Amino acid sequence: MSESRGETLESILNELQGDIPEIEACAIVSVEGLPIVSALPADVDEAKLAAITAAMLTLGEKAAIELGKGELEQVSVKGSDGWVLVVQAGLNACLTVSTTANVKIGLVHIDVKQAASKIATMI
Amino acid sequence: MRKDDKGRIHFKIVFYGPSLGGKTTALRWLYAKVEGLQKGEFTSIEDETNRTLFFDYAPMSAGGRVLFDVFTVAGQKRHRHQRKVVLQGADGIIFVADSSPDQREENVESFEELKMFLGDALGREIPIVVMLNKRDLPNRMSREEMLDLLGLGGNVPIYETIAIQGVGVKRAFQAISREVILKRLYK
Repeated sequence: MSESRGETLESILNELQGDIPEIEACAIVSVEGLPIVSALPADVDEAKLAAITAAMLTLGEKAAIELGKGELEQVSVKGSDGWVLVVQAGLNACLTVSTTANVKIGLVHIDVKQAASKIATMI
Repeated sequence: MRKDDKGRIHFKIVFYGPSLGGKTTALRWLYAKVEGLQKGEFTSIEDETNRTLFFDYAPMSAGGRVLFDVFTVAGQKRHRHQRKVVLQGADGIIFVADSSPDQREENVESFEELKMFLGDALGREIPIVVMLNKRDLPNRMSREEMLDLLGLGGNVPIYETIAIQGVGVKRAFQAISREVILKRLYK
């Protein structure tokens, strides 16, 4: 059963990367910071991406609470070479996506939110 | 942190705080209501009035090889020695403060005791999150008053909770789990 669930989660990530080729890496990470499923290039370490996700969640949650922004939904980081997005996928997991700089970020937001909604029903 | 004979990593998380502040209630709520965590058997060492005598314990798993051994301490003053024993090997602390104004001193005493037991490790090697519990009390202390009381600045994550309804409990637990994993697994 867990195997089929894993395949389904993987297919969501594969679909996301198929739709937006500028997505270099994506992973589903538990809110505790443990990797669940990922689709990563060889040079990206799954544990590292999970750790980065955990750190972003911690800081994002603190910012949301301290500044009265309610429950955390998303954390975005933009560097000169691309974006990192962490989006809540239900109560137990989040979806982390790393993109190149030339991506249409609005499109990424739409697709990532749709993927996160699907993941939320499965975890 | 310890590894068991199956290669699984165990992290020890301890609910600490004054007597009747909601530690056991929070753990029981997590155990009974939270989906997304696999749980083992709930163990409780308590007296005939259901007051914790030594500790409550529930193992929880958030993912394959990582387990959280979650404990509460006995909050009554006379169980000081037991609390010290339960704290041994703790990887993370959830301090449960009581928002009732008549528990002002008990909150301070308990927090001071925790700081004394763990010394400089508290907040550095051993992360802590604070639950301001019983936020449904009509005469509750304000958040600012409680943070002043405990001498807490901006570095400790604070969660306003109602343990009996589970409000905020899961968030607080997820936060300490994440802090512990960041500190211990990904250091």
